[in-house]
Amino acid sequence: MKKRLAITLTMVLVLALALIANGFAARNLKEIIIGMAQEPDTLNNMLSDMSATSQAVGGLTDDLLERDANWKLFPQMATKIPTIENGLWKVLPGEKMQVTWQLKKGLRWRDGKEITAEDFKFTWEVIMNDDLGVPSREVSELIEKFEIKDKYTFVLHFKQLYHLANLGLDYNPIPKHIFEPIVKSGAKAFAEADFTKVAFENGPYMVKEWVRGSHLVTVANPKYAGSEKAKVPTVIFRFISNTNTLMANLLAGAVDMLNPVGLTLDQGLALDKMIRDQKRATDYTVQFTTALTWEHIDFNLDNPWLKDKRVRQALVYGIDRQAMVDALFEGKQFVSHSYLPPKHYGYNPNVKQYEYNPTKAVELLAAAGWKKGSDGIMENAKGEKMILTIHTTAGNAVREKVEMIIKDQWKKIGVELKIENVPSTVLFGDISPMRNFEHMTMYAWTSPPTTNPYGLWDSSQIPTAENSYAGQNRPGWRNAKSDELCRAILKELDEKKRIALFHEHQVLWAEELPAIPLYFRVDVSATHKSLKNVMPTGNTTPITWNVQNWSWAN
Amino acid sequence: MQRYLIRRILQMIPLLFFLSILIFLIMFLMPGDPIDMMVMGNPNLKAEDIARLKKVWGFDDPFPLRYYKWLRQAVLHGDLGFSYHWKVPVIQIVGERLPNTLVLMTASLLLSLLIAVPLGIFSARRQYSFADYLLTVFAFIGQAMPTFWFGLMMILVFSIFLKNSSGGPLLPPGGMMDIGSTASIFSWGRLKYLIMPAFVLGLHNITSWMRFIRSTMLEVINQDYIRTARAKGLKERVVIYKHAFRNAMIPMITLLAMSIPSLVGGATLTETVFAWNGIGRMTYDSVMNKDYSVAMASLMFSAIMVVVGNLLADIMYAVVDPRVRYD
Repeated sequence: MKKRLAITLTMVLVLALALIANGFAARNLKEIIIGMAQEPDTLNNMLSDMSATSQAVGGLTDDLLERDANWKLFPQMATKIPTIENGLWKVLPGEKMQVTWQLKKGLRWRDGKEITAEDFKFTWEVIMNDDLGVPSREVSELIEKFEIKDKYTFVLHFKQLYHLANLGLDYNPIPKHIFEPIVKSGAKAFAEADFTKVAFENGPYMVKEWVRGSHLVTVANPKYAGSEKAKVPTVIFRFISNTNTLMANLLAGAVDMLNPVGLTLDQGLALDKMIRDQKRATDYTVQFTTALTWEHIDFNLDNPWLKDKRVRQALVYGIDRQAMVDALFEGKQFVSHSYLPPKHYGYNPNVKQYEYNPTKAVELLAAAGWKKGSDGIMENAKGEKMILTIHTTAGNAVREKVEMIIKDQWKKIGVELKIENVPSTVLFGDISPMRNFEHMTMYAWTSPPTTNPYGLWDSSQIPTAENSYAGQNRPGWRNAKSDELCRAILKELDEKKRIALFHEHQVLWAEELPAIPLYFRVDVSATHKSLKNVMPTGNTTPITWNVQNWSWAN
Repeated sequence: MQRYLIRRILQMIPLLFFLSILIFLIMFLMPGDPIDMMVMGNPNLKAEDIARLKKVWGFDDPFPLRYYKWLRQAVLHGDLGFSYHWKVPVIQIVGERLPNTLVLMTASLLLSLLIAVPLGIFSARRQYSFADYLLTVFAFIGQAMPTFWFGLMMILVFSIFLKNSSGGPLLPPGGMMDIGSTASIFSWGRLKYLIMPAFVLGLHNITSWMRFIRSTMLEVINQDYIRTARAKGLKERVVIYKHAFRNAMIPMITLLAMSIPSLVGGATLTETVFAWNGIGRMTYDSVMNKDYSVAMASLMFSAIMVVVGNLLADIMYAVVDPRVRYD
C-alpha cells in the first residue's frame, strides 16, 4: 500500500513538473494575433453578410476608394475621387450621369498579374448575374453601360440621378482571369470556390492558412504594389466564440488585440475598470468607438392610439433616457435624438430633444384624451386602458434591462407595459418585417456611413401583403413632406444642398417621432499598449482597414 | 442472437426515416431564414433582391419539396448537400469537425474511467470511512456543477492565475493547437489543449460513475461467492479485481454505451467554452442559422448515435453476462 502511494505521488509530481517546464514562447514581434468571437463563413466578401468576414478580409483586399477612421474617403486604387468639380462625374440631359474612373498603373493581383479595367467590368457582371446570389446591387443596377476606355480607364453610364455614384461598385474587384472559368461553372462553383487557394487578394496581406474553427493566418503579400506595404509580416486571427473565453485569452496574454466582433459592452467596461484599477491586463487598453448601430423602438403607426403624435411624444417624454444610459453604460453609449450619429455627414444636432418630463407627458396625454383611471392607468373616452406591448430579442440582457426601466418609468405616467420577448429568428423573420406587432418592437439597425432616410422612412417602403412585405419602413410612417425630402436626397448631387435636406428631414422626424430613438451602440476593441496605429472606425469599415500600418513599438 | 440483431437493425430504418421528417419539419416551422437576418444588417436590400436570393438558395420551396430534395440527394447520391452558412459541402465541414469531437469524447471517456473506477472501488472498500464521505461530497458537488461555469473556472485557475516558467499560461485558455502546428495528437503540444476540456466534459460522468461503481461494488462484495473466494485464500487484489469488479461492471457497460450519444450532445457547451472545433457547436450554429443541410446531417448523426448506442448496450450486456440470452 505504501509502495502504491509512493508511486502515485511520484507520477503526480512528474506530471506537474512537465506542465511547469513546458511553456509558451515569449511574444513574437513578427506577428499580431487578433482574437474574434465570430468566424467568417467564407472569405468571399460578395457572398457573406457577416461583419467577421469584412474584418478578416480588410487587409487582404483593396478597392477604388477607402474610408479612414474619421469616415473620410480617400483614393486607394483610383488616382482620384470622381467629383462634379474635377469633371470626372458628369450630369447629362435626361437625368443621366457618367462617372469616369482612372486606375493607378502597376497595381497587381496576388499572382502578379496587373489589375485592369477588365477586372472591374467582370466584377460588375458578377454582381448583376441573377444566378450567383450576390445580395447588394444598389449602385450596380443603375449602371446601364460599362464602357472601357483603355487599360486603366472605365466610364460608368448611369440611367438615373443617384447621389452615391462616385463610391465605386457595390463590392471590391475580383480578378477576371481567375474567376471567369469558375463563374461559368455556375453559382455552386462560385460559392464553393476555396478562397484559401484562389488568388483573390490585391491587398497588403494574403491568406496563408485557414484552419476552420481555430485560426486564419495571413502574411505580407510580396506582389502588393500599393503605397503602404505591410509592416508586420504575419497577422493571425484566432476564433473563440465564447466571449468569456475570449476575455480569458486576453488576460492570459494569448492574443494581442480583440477586434470589435468580440467583447460585449459589459465586458469592455469590466476590462477597462480592471486596467484602471491596475489589477490585471495593464498592458492593454480598451477603446470605445461610437458605432452606426442605432437602438430604437418602432411604433406601429396604424394603431389608433399611436396614430396621435401627442401620444408618441408623451411616451418619449416619459422615459429618462439619460439616466438609463448612465446606469446601464456608464455614459459610454449616449442618448440619440434622431436616427443618425454625430459622425454621419448629414447629422443635425439641432432637433427637438425630449428631456425627461413626466408632467409634460401627462399633459400631452390629456390633450389626446387620456385621463388617469382609478387604478392609476390612463383611460380614454371609450374606456380603453393604455396597456402597450413591446417585443424584443429574448435573451439579450441589455434590451431586457431597458424594457424593465421603461416599464417602471411609464408606470409613473399611467402607462402599463407588457413585455413579450421572442427569439431573434422570430422577431426578424416574422414579427418585425411583416409588421405583426400591436404597438412596439425594440431592435437595432446597422447602417453604412452613406445611409440615407429613403429605405427606412419613405412611405413607398412600408411592407404590406400586397408588395410581399418589401421595404424597411416598419413603423408605417406616411408623411408627404418626409417623402419629398427622402426622394430629393437620392437625386441631390450637390453635397451641401443634400446636407441641408438631411437636416430638414431630421427636424421633421424628431417632431413626428415614428420611432423612439434610444442610443447608439459602441464598438468595443482592446489592444496591447505596444501595438501602434490601431484605429477603430465605428462603422462597417473593418478595424483592419489600415492593418498594414500596425506595428510594434520597441 | 443473429436473428435478434437483424430484427433490431431492420427496426432502425423506419425509426430513422420518421425522425428525419420530424427534425426537418420542426426546423422548417421555425420562422425566419438567413436572408431575413441579412436584411437586418442591410436595410437597403430591396424586395426583388430578397426574392432573388431566396430563389438562388432554395429558401422559397414548400416543405415536402425541400424534404424530398434533401432525401433524394442524401440517400440516392450520398451527397449530404451544401452548407449555406459555411459555403462548403456539408461533408467537408462535418469531416473537419467530427474527428475533433471524437478525439474529445474518447479522451473524456478514458479520463473518466481512469478516475471514476479506482475511486469507486476505493469508496466501496472503505465504506463509511472519512475518505468515502469526502468523495461522496465531491461527487454531489460535481454533479450539481454547471459545465459552462466549471469550464470557465478551470480556465481562470489554470490559464490566468497559474503561469509556467516563461510567463505564459500554464494550460492554454481554449483552442485546439498551437498556430501552425503540425504535431500529432499524441504529442504534448496537442495534449495540453485536450486536458481541460476532456476533464470538464467528463466531470458529470466521473461523479455519477464513481457513485454507481461504488454501489454496484458494495452489492457484489457482500455476496457469498466473494466470501468463498476470500476463504479460499486468494489475495485481496485478486478477489476485488478478478471476481467482484468484473461482476460489478456488468451494469456499467450499459451506462457506458448510453453515455456515448450524450457525450456528443453535451460536448456543445464544453466545445463553446474551450473553442474546441467540434460538431456540438456546429449543430447549434447550423440550427440557429437555419442551415438545413448541416443541421440535418448533424441531428441525424445524433439520432443514429442514440439508436446505435442503445443497440450496442443491449448486445454488450448479452456478451458480458452469459445468463442473458436474446432470440
